[in-house]
Amino acid sequence: MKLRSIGWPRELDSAQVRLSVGTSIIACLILLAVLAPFLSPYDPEETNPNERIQPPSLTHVFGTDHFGRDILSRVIFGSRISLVVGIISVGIALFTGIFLGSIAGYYRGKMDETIMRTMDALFAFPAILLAIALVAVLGPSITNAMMAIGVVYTPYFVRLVRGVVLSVRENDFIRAARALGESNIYIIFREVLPNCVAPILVQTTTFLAYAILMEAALSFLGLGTQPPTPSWGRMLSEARGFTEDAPWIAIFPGAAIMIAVLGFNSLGDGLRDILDPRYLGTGLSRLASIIPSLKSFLERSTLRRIGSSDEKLVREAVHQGQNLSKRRKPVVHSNAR
Amino acid sequence: MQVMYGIMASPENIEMARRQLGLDKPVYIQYLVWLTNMLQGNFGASLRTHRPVLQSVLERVPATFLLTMASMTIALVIGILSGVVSASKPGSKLDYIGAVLAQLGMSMPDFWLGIILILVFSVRLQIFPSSGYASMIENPFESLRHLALPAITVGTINAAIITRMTRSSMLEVLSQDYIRTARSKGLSERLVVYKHALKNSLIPVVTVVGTQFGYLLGGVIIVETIFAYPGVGRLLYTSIYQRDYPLVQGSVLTLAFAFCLVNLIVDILYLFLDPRIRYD
Repeated sequence: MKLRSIGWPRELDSAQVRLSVGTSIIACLILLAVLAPFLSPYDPEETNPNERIQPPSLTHVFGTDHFGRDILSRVIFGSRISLVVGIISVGIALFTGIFLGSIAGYYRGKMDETIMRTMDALFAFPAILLAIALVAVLGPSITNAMMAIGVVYTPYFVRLVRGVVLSVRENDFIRAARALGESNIYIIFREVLPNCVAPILVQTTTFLAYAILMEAALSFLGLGTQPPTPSWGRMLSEARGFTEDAPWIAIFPGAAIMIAVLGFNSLGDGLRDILDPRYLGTGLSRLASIIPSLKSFLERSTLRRIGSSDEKLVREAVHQGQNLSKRRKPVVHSNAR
Repeated sequence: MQVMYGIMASPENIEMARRQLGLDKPVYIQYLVWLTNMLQGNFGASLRTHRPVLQSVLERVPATFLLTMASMTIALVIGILSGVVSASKPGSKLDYIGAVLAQLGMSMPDFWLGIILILVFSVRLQIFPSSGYASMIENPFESLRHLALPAITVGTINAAIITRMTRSSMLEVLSQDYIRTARSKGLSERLVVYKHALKNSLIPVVTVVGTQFGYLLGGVIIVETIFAYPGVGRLLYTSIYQRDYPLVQGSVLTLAFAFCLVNLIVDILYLFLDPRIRYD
């Protein structure tokens, strides 16, 4: 389908490419992780002294390491660690962030001050440095690494959710809910948080990429996954002594990390552009005229954005492609890696 | 205690050491004592070498400072240049290549890039050494040779982030009315981009550079470990492995202090970059 013919904005071309690239990579990664026992040709932990440091060949496509273990099998199984660590650690940060951020933003006052100053204290440390310090105290293990990454990323989610809640709580529909006598918990969960979904979704995707990188970095330093569990970062760490004679031991796990992170980064970027309010009212609304389910989604999201329950106004806004919100500044988390 | 006295230490000796170190006191008292000492510049002594922590950390600061500055210089030069080029020709092939490279740079783990650079430039081409450090004052040429690979490793990945930020900021500035006015006056595109647009587009870039400093310090810990570079990052890494906690605390605090200091400098820099900003 030629999207331009239905008014698809040029700016969304690259977003569509990024979304496709990101989704494809992540789908492959998930498949790899789920089907690891069926896809890997060898046991990832099985050592074979007779086949130590073998270059890539038909028998061992990615070669073998200094214990004779098959690198392809270890790379395939390593995807499980990366995905699990990414999902659990970002999950910790996400739920803590939503809880603390909505309390801080909704209730304001002393609660807000206390939470945000604590988060400021955590922001004073570079992310990887704080994670290293936490794991150093808790002891090196994959569980502690996940907890450390979760704690380190929590302030980023708290700040995001608080910001969105602060802007949403001033809308008329929140005042209306209060006037109707709805409880604060109901208002937060049913009225406020659904409006925060888009920015949280974008940030979660981006932070999954950062979490995979940080797990790899911690494992590389010996603070994450412990041997013989196959993890990409750990494999790179073990490869350091063999860079000269067997570069393939380092090349493949590193490439796997890069591809996985690229997938999540691309998906995050694509989602950010697609969910940008400037385009929600233009290209997508035209596309919605063809896809009915997208149409109802847009109507719901527009209803939330304009904070009006007037159905006619909402339909008009969606169909005319009005620019209803100010442009969001791109969020940079350069310190979070 | 085992780190200090070994696994054969008697319970009496361990108890005596606990009393000497103040570990028999409540945690909040221990914290207050540590905080008071720390504010007076006394970070305690290393459990392994028994040398003052501050002295051990300060000895490593020049090497880390040098690496950080070199990495930031590389990141800024590459990042701003490629960001401006991409923004001045949006949608061109050059812009797409820049975007793809920036995306790859942001996805690449720095420790992997470090290993690849060692493989290419140290092992195969033998241009740069793969490890070590030389003083910039005593032997500037050797110092630069040792600095090259670690600085390129950290700098390249930071350059990717700066490229993206410069590009988006520059595009926003280039769409403003005063740029249209400058163009309608007949000024050359080069003059419009480099004289009129660049300075204003650098304001958000400065913010990123400030926050990125944190990532840079994080990257330095890993990169110093790969290249056996004797900085604060490597000191932190070895002290974690030796469970030398006073040294871990000292190294972490030094790096966090440097991060806060840079953020403060960035805030002050705004005053010069943007005259509209005034602090009360």
